[in-house]
Amino acid sequence: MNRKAFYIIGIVCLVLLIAHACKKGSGGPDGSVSPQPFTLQLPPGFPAPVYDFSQNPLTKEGIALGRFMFYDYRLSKDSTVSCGFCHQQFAAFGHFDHALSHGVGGRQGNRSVPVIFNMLFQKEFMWDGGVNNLEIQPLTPLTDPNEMGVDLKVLIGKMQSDPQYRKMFRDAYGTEEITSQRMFRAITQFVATMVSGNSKYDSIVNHVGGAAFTAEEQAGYKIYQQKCATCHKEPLFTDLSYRSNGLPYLKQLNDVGRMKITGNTADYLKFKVPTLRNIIKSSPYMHDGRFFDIYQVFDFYDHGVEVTASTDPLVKNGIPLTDAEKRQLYFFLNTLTDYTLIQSTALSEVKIN
Amino acid sequence: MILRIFHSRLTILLSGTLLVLASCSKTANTSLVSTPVTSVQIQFYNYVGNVPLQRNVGAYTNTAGEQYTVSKLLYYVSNFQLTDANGKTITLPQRYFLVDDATDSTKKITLDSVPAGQYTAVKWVIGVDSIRNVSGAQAGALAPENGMFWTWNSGYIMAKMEGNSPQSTTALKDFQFHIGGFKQPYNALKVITVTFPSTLTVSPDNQAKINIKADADKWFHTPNTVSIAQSSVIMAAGANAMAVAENYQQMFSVLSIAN
Repeated sequence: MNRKAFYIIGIVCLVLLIAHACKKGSGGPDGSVSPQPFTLQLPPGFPAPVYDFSQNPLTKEGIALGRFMFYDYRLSKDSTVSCGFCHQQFAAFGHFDHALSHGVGGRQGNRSVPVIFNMLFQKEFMWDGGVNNLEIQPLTPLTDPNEMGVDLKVLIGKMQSDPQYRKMFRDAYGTEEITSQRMFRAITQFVATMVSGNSKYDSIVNHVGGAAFTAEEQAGYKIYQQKCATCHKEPLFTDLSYRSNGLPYLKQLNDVGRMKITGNTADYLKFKVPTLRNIIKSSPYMHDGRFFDIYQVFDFYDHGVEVTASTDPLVKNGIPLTDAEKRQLYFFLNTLTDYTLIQSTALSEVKIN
Repeated sequence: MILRIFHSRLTILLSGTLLVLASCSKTANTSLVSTPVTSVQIQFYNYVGNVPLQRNVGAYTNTAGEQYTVSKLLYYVSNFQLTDANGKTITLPQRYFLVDDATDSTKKITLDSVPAGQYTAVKWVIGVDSIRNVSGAQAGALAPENGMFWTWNSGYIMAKMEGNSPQSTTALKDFQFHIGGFKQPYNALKVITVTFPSTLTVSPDNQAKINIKADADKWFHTPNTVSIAQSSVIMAAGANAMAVAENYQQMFSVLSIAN
C-alpha cells in the first residue's frame, strides 16, 4: 500500500516537474515570455528572510516594475512625490537633511523617514511596528494625506490607462491586469533587493581580502560591543525590539510611539531600534529626526536621557562616553557604510517619461 | 530530435499517470465521487428593526433614544460551514465576501462546492480571520482599495457603519463605527450560526437559496447599549469595538429558505 502511494506521489511530482519545465520554455499567447526568476544573494551570516517569497517569487521583470513604481512621482496625488523622493539611495534610502517626512502639497508628517534596506529581515514596519507585512507597507505612504495622498482606486485606474504600465504588468505577471496586490508585490520585490551587508565591517568579519580595522575603528568596535550592541545587535545592527531610549518627549509632536499600536501604557514612547548600518549616510537621527549630527546622538546618550516609567533600563543611567570614545565610535560607525548599496546601479533612480 | 522522442515518451508517461490517478481516485473515494457538488445562494437583506434599510433617507431611533440615519453599511462574511441533517459539519472552501449596502450585487453571494444533501444550519465568520490580517496584500473582496483595511495599524475593518445623528459629538454630527481587531484582548472576530426553519435540500436540480435578514439597529443594543453621544467615532480595536461586535453578532436571522 505504502509503496503504491510512493509510486503515485513520485509520478505526480514528475508530472508537475515536467509541466513546470514546459511552462518555462513556452511563450505566452501574444509572444511574451514568462518572467525570469531572480536569485537574491544574501550576505553571509545574515538570518533567513522573514518575508515569505512563496507567493511572490522574485523575477527580473517584477523587480523592474517595482523599481519603476518606486521612482514614479505620478503615483502621488499631485505628481510631485515618489517613494524615492523620501527614500534616497545616497542617504541609504532615508531622507537626507529632513527631520520630518515630506509629502504632497508641501505637507509634512510627524516622523522622520526610516531607512528601508534589509526590510526582508523584518516582521514589522514603521517606527512603531504598526504594519505587519512588507507587502502592505507601501499602502500607508501611498494613501496617507501627508505623504503621497492617493486614493488607491483612482491610482489603479490611472495606471490601467497607461500603456507602459500595462506592458510592465504583463511582463511581470503574464497578463495586463493591474491590481493593488500585484502593485504591492512588485514594490515588495524591489525593496527586498535593497540588502545591505557589504560594508568594510562585513569584509573584516568575513575575512575578505585582508580587510582590517584601523586602530581607532578597532577601539570604536570595542566600545560599540560594550555599550551599544545589546539593542543595535549584529549582524543587522538592530534587535528589532521596541524601546524607549529616554529621548525627551516633544509636546508639539505628541508622539506616544508604540503605545498607539498596542494600546498598552507600557509601550509609551517606545520606538523600533533603528539599524546602525549606513548610519553616517542617513542623518538626521531619532524617530523625529531631531539630531542632524551623530555627535549629538553621542551627547544625548552621554548626558541627555530623560527617564520615564517606560525608559529602557539599559539607558536609564545614560551611556557615558569620553570625547576620545565618541571619536573612536564615529570611526567604527563609518565602517558600516555599504557603498555597494548606495551606489548600486540596480537600485538607482529610473527615468520616468 | 531528442526533444521529439522525449515528447512522445512524455505523452505515454502522462497518459499512464492520469490513468493510474483516475483509477486510484475511483477505487479510493467512491463515496465522494458519487456525491455531486453544487452551489448555495445566500441573499442578504439589510434592515433596521422591521423595516428595510434606506440609506441616507430612513430616520431611525436606537435603544439609547438617539435619532440616526445610515449612510454606509458594509460587513465581511467568510469561512462558511454547513451542518447536515446528521449533525455533521461541512467546511466549505475558504471564501471572503464583502457585503456593501450600496452595491446590490454584493448582497447575493454564492457558496460553491456544496455537497448535495440535507442541511439544518449555516455558520460563518463575521469579519476576516486573523491569518488574512497578517498575510500581506490580498485581492478581490479583501483588496485594500475597498476601504476596509487599516493602514497605520494593519488589520481589516470587519464591519463598518456610518451615518448622522443630532446626538453625535463631532462637528459634522456624524458617527463612524469602524469595527476591527484580530488580536487578543480585542479580537472582534465573531462567528454566527443561523438555523433554518426547515431542512434545506441542496441538489444539482434546484438552486438552494437562503434569505438572511441583517438588522443594522442591533449594532446599538443587546447585549451592550451603544450610544452615539458617548462614542461617535470608533476607529480602532478596543473595548468600544468589542461592544459593537458583540451586538452585531446578533444581527443575522433567516427570513426564508428555498430549495
